[in-house]
Amino acid sequence: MNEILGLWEKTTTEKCGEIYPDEIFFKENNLYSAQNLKPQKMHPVWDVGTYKMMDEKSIKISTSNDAVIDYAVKLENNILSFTDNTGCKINYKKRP
Amino acid sequence: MKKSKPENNFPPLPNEIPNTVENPDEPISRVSEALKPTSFPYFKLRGIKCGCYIINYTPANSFFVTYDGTMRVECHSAGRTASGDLYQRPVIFIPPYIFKYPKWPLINPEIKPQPSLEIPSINPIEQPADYGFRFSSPPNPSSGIPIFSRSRYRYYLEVTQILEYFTLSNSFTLGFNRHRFDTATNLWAETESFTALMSWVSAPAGYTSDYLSGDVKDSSGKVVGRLTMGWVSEYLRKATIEIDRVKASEAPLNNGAGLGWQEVFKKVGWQINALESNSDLTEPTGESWSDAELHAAMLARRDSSNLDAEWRYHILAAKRLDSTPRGIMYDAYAGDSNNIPREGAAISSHWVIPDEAEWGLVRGERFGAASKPYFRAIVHETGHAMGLYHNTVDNGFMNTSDTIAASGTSSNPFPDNIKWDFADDDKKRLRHMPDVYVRPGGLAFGTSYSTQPISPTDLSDEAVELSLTVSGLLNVVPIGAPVRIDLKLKNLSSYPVMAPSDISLKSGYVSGEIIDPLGNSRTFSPLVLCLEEEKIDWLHPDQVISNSLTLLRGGEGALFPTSGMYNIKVVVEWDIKGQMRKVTGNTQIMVTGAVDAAHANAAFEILSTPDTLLTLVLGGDHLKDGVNAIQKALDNPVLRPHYAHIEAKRLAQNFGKRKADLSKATKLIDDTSVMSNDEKRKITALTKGKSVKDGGKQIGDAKIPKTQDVGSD
Repeated sequence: MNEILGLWEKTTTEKCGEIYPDEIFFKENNLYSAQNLKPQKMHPVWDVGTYKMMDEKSIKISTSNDAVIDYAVKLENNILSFTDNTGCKINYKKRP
Repeated sequence: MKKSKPENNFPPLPNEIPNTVENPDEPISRVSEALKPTSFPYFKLRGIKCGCYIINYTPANSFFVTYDGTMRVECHSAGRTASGDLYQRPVIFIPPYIFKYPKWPLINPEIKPQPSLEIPSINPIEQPADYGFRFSSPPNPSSGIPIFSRSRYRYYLEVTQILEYFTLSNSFTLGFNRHRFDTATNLWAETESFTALMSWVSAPAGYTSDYLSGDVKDSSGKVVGRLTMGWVSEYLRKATIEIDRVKASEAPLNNGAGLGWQEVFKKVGWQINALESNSDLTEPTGESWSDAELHAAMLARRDSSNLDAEWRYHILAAKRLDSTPRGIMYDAYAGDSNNIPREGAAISSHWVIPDEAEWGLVRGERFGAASKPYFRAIVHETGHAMGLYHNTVDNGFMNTSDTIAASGTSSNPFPDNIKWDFADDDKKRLRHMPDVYVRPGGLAFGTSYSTQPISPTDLSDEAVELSLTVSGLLNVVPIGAPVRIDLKLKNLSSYPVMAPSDISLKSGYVSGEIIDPLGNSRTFSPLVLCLEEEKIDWLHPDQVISNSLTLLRGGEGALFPTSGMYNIKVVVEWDIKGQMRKVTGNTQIMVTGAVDAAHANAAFEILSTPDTLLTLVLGGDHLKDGVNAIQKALDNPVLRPHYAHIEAKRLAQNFGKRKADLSKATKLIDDTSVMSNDEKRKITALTKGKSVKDGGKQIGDAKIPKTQDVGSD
């Protein structure tokens, strides 16, 4: 799923999504970097690490403590959605 | 008394205090001259010793409160950096029947009321409830750096003024901001500024070196308490690392080349006691351990568990881990089952390093047998346990193994390209972050701190009410191409802030640093300054100003000379009535290698020709080397889109007898041309309305604005 490559900006405003970064950049070499755009109480659970698309619906992303976590993933209408194991859905839109 | 609340909910770490003599009117050379024995043999030279001090602060207005803690004084070539933490000493209230017993020590004899504080002597009969009290024992200096109970944590001290080289007098002024920590909410509550005239006095029993005391004054000059500080160690902090393992796993003790735990942490001023302990851990459910199993084994098998008496981090080496291939600081988030965070980390000895080129010299090896990456990974996880997060500013410990491996080259492959040290900003965090962030069992992993690097020579005030967003126009560029980045300066606060109204390089407010894949630093700053007017103005709430930079060369040569990941740090710094303020931002870009020999040759011309920068900035036909190098880039299909605008700009302007050729300039620009918004504006202006095609996908659908981008997001 090459469509995941590039820079994505978080659109989710729900509280459960607060631990996820404001923007994330998926690179071609299966590395990503992510950050918050303004100071937050929590460091983002994704900051720098690896990702691997398992199939069209699931992805593994390493987290800020180096755990590698499975997420459900969906790309539709230029919106990239992740769902974590608590059911929290986090949406990102592609940044030009 | 002036109090303020930290906006960022993180107290600022102390800035370095520059090397200056106590009395600026007495240059050091003159002082040294004066110290010659033949001139003034009776003068005594005093300096503040580097290392850890036990400190005590006793407020003037309370019988029942005294604070103990540590102050860390770091000495370095650029000055000194100091910080401290205070813990409230427990008070034991004594029931009346014991209270009347004459031999009970009612007041700790270590706490001696100072006359200047006017602390009344305690008369037991006058106690309101007929209860007496005593403090528990103060820390014992002969035990070195003391460890205090986490529940007693109260204040972080950000030292703003301290004696630098030396003084001829017996005292110096210590200035500090005191940040109160609310243990109920785990938030920083308020900040107050204090000074104390610290004098060398006779050391009490147990202290073997410098001991100082002084009255503490608030910002109005009122004496509010008394501070003492006694030197106890050349180190700043101390901790124990216990290493347990299953029989088949190697104990990660060193990197196989003489670098072990003590050496790694000595560089950051930590005294580490590394203990190789149990080597017979039983695998609970097979060779791979879950986070819960790791946590349970730590609780069951570690040699000691009193985190209020010892900072102990537990390492467990297992064959494999469920949650990750290599290593993990599992004591975080849901893995922290006992709500005592950051106690332990684990590493997997039987993960097999992928047999892929990027893993360099250790490809295909079992992890535990590859000493360098194995030891590096567990130091990395321990860094997480000490409250650090990933840091890609260089190939130091807190970068990830994957990123470091990806940045390896044939001449400097992984793991030779590992930097065996923490990045400078992480060093500062380990030395000076408040205890609660670094000690095991302190604040939860994930508690935020500013991840912006803290410049070690920086004396500017960080403008926390502003944000600087730095983003690459393209996140991946071919070698030899300039890197275009967009800057956005935004006021996050609810009030107007004085800030630059122009963040172009020419404004003089913008500079930066590029860290290459090997961790080398190169700087960039304006080549041409626009000095007509100072462009400082009010930036209103939510207002954003933007600009773009095109980066190619800096003072140290080509900024992007090899392929790999680069970290770009941009600093906007300005002066408000003598007070320097700054805001920083950073981004990463990837430079890809040459696709063929022609691309390599064109890139070589660009990177090795200093005039390309002048041609890029100034234009003009006289810079023949630069024009030729850019022409070669234009002849190359990979680099052409990146240089089309630069050549078009040159052609669109008269130079000497050559007339501007707008038609030719316009033809150079097509859908593939890479241009920042500023470049689009400029070329539009130069071609005076001739049609200029938008840069297509690579630039996005940004329209060419008629005026400068000033407005809200």
